[in-house]
Amino acid sequence: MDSTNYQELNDEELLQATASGVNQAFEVLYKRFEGRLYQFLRIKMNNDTMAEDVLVDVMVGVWKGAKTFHGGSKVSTWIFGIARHKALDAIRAIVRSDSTTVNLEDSLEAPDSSDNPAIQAERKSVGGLVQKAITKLPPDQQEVIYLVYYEGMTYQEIGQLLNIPVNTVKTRVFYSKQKLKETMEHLGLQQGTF
Amino acid sequence: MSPMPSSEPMHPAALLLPEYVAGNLTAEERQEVDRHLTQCPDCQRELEEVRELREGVHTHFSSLPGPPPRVFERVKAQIQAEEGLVKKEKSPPLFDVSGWLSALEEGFRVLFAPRWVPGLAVALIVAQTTLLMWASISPQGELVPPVSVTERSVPPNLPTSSSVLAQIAFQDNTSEKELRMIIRDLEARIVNGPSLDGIYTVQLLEKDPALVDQKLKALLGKSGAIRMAKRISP
Repeated sequence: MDSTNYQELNDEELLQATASGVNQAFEVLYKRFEGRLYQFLRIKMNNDTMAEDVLVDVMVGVWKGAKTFHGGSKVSTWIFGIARHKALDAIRAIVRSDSTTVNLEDSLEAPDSSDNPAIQAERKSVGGLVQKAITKLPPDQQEVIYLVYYEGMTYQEIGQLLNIPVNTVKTRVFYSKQKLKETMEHLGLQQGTF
Repeated sequence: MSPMPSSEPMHPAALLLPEYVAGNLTAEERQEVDRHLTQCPDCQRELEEVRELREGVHTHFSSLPGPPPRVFERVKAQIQAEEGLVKKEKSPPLFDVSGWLSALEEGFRVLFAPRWVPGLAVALIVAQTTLLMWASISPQGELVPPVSVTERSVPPNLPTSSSVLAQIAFQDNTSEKELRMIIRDLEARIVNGPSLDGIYTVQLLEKDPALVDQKLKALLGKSGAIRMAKRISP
C-alpha cells in the first residue's frame, strides 16, 4: 500500500509521480493549480464556461505530457505555458459575439466575509476596481499583471512563458502597472489611495 | 503589443520594484535598489504603488471562487476515455489471426535484430554438441555405445557373474529389525525372496567365496535368528 504523503511533495516530484501514472499525485497537482489556472484562464477567455473547458484541456495535457517535462523550467511555468497555448487555441477556434460572452464584471464579484461595512465597502471598491481595471487593459498587459502580482512569477519565468526577452518583460510590467493605475483613477478610486 | 505611453524618466530600479516586493531579487540587486530608494522620492512613491497594487490583486483574486468540482471529474473522464482508446489501438482483436501473426513476426524481428544474435546461436550449437560428445566418452576414452532398448529395460540391480550369492533362512520369530541388522552386518543386500519356505537370496559385498563361507558360519553360530545360511555361487 502506497504510504507517500503526496501533499508534501514539491511540484516537480508530483509531476514525476504523475508521469509514472500515480493518480493520487496528479490529483494533488490538480488541486494545487486549479484555482490559479482558472483565474488566469478567466482573464484570457473572458468567460467562465470557456475557462472551465480550457482548464480541462490543460490538465489533460499535463497528464499526457508529464513524461515530456525535462526540468528546463519550473513546473508552474510549464503548466502555465500549456494553459496559455490552450487558451490561444480556444480563442482562435471560437467566433466571438456579444451573445456568447459573459459580463466578466458581474461574474467576478468577490464574496464578502467581513462584518465591517467600511471594510466591505473598501473591498468592493478596491477589489472590484482592480478587476474592472485589469479587464480594460490590453490582453498582453492583463497577462503580465496577473503573472507578476498574483502568481509572483519572476521576470525570467515570464520571459520563458511568453517567449520574450526579460527586458521586454520589465518594461511591459512597468507600463501595465502605470496603465492600471490610470484606469483605476479613471474608474473613480479615491486619489491617493492608489 | 500594446503601445507604450510617452516615456517619462524611468529609473532602472523602478523596473525592478515588482521583483523587489515579491522577494525575487538577488542580494546584490536588492542592495542596489535599496541604495537608489534612499535617494529617489519618485521611486519611493512607485514602491508604495506597487505594494498596494500587489495587495489589491492578491485580495481580489484570492477571494474569487475556484473551478467547480465537476471540472476535475471531467478531467478524469477524459483521461480515462483517452487511455481506453490507446489500449484499444495497441492490442489486436482477439480473433484477428493476421494481427497476431504480424505481432509474432514483429517479436521475432526484434529478437533477432541485434547483429550478435546469429553468432551467439552458432556458439550455443557448438557448445551443446561438444557437451554431448564429452558426455558420450567413457573414462577410458572410448565412445560409449548407446545402450539398446532391451538392455536398458533390464533392471540394473541384478547380480553379475562375479557376485557372491548366499541363501539365508530366518527363524519364524525373527523380527524385521533383526533381519535387517543381520543383512547389514553381512554387508549384503537381498536380491530375491522370501520364497515360500522363507529363504532369502542375498548378494554379498565380499567377493572371496572362502571369506563368505567363514562369515556365514560365524553368523549361524552366534545368531539364534537364523536357521539356515549357505553360499550358493560361485
